[in-house]
Order: sequence, then structure tokens, then C-alpha cells
Amino acid sequence: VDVALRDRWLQLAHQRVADAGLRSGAARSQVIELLAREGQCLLGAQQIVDRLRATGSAGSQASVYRVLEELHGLGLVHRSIDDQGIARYEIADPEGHHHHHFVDDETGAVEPFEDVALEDAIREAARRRGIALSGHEIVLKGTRVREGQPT
Amino acid sequence: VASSRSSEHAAEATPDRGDWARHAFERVAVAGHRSGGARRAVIEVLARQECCRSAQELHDEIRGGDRNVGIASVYRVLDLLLGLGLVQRIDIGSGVSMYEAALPGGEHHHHLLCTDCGQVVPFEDPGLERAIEATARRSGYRVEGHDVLLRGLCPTCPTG
Repeated sequence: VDVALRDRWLQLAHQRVADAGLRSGAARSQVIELLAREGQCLLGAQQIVDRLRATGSAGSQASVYRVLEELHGLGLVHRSIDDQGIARYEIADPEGHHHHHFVDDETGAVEPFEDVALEDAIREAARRRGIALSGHEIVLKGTRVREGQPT
Repeated sequence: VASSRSSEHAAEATPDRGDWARHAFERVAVAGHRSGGARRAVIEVLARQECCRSAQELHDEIRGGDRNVGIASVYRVLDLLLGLGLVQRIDIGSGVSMYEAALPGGEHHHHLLCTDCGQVVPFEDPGLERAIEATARRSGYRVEGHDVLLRGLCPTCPTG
């Protein structure tokens, strides 16, 4: 866990939720705290529900889903929806650092990656089209190469 | 009548997308599904699109063509086509899924979402494709597909 990211995101989340006039209810606070601890890379909505239940949270599935969509609407989390329609969420770093994702088609596992050359290529593609870029998402899909297998 | 209408619509689509429609009809048949009116209508409308569309937009276009297909049928057909790998679903962050044909030859484009006018603009960029291939080679994955979504202001918006 990137502790500095966790702390600055928590501070921003509480501030933005308060500014939006939302109460710090139990479900909202629990989801925010879990995302700060475990949501630095994509977590499925159902995984979030399951992890909260494992800690004894009494929040309903519907309330967790509603809070996740609220946080997405407030720009506090990034959301990714895969080909099966499964939504996953991760916290949005207030300082703008970000990563992209490999998705393993066999297992569904999601792995973060960063690539400076790819970031440069994205900026260059935007510049060529006269796009004032404010964000981007890249997902690479495939299968993890096992030892001894050709890439 | 249905097959004649199908031929007319295939002729309206670009060659790649006409190929996709034929490919889609074959795959649906091989999977054991009848080529019913809703399936035919959704495939034909998808084949005419240059970029992704929501289920509601596809439904509107089907109804504009005087076909009586319900929105629930459109969703069911899209789920079937997704399951067969014939369309891809794109999340542009609006909460509404967008769909477009997954061309059998692997030809594809990426998407720019204009944060001002809301328009989704398709684009292709060989330099970006090369960078993605290089990333894939370094990754330890056998990469078979990729999605790219850019967010920003499109050149035609006054603030862009």
C-alpha cells in the first residue's frame, strides 16, 4: 500500500463528500476507508461488498453500489467496466499519478502497469489531433505467459 | 423480404462492416440461434455504424426504419453478440455502455470522449499502436486486445 497516496486520497475524499453536502454515514465511510486501504488498483464492486461483510459491516449491497457510483461522480474513483459488464473501481490519485491495466482473459486477474514510452505516445497522438488531453485509460487484454511458453 | 432487406443494408455498410455482418450471421447460426427479426435488425444497424452506439441509439435507429423491435430484445441480442465476441462494449464513464462491431480481421480504432460536447470521436494512430505493441512485448502477457480511451476537449469545441 502506498501510504502517502492512501492519506492524501482520504483527506480529499472526506473534503469532497462534505462539499457535496453528503453525510458521513456508515456505508459511505466504510466504503471510503476500504478503498483507501485496498483500492489502489481495481477492485470489483462485489469484492468490495464481500470484504466489507467480512469485517462485520451491515451495509447492504445496494448501498455499497450507490456509494461507489457517488464517488465516481465526484471524481474520487476511476471505474472500469469489462466485457462482461463487471464494474471495478480504484481510487483516483489527487496528484494525478496513474497506472493502466493488464487483464488476464483466463483468470480475470487485473494487474497494474506503468510505461513512460506509452504515456509519451498517448500525448503525441493527442497533440497530432489537436486534443487538449485531460485523462486517458488503457487496458491490455490477454493471457499471462507461463514459464517456457513463447510470448 | 428479410434477406433482401439484409442485402440492401449490407451494401450500405463499408466493406469491412459488410463482412462483419455476414460473419456475425454465420457465427450466430453456428451457435444454434435462429436469425430472428431482432437479431437481424441489430446486426444490420451495428454494421452501419462508424463508431460505438448505446443500446438506446441502436433501438432508435431500428425503430426509425419502421421495424418493431423492443429495447429488451436489443439488449438480449447485444448480450448474445458480446458472448460470441462479435461486438465489444465500451465504457466511456457516462454509466451507459456503448457497443460496436468487433471486426473479424482485428481492424479497430480507439475513442476520444470530448468532455465538453460529449461527442465520442473514433481515431486511429499507428504510432500509438506501435507503442502498445512494444509495451505488450515487455509485459509478460500474450496480449490479444487493447482498449484506449482519451478524455479531453475535441478540436471543434471552442475551449479545445
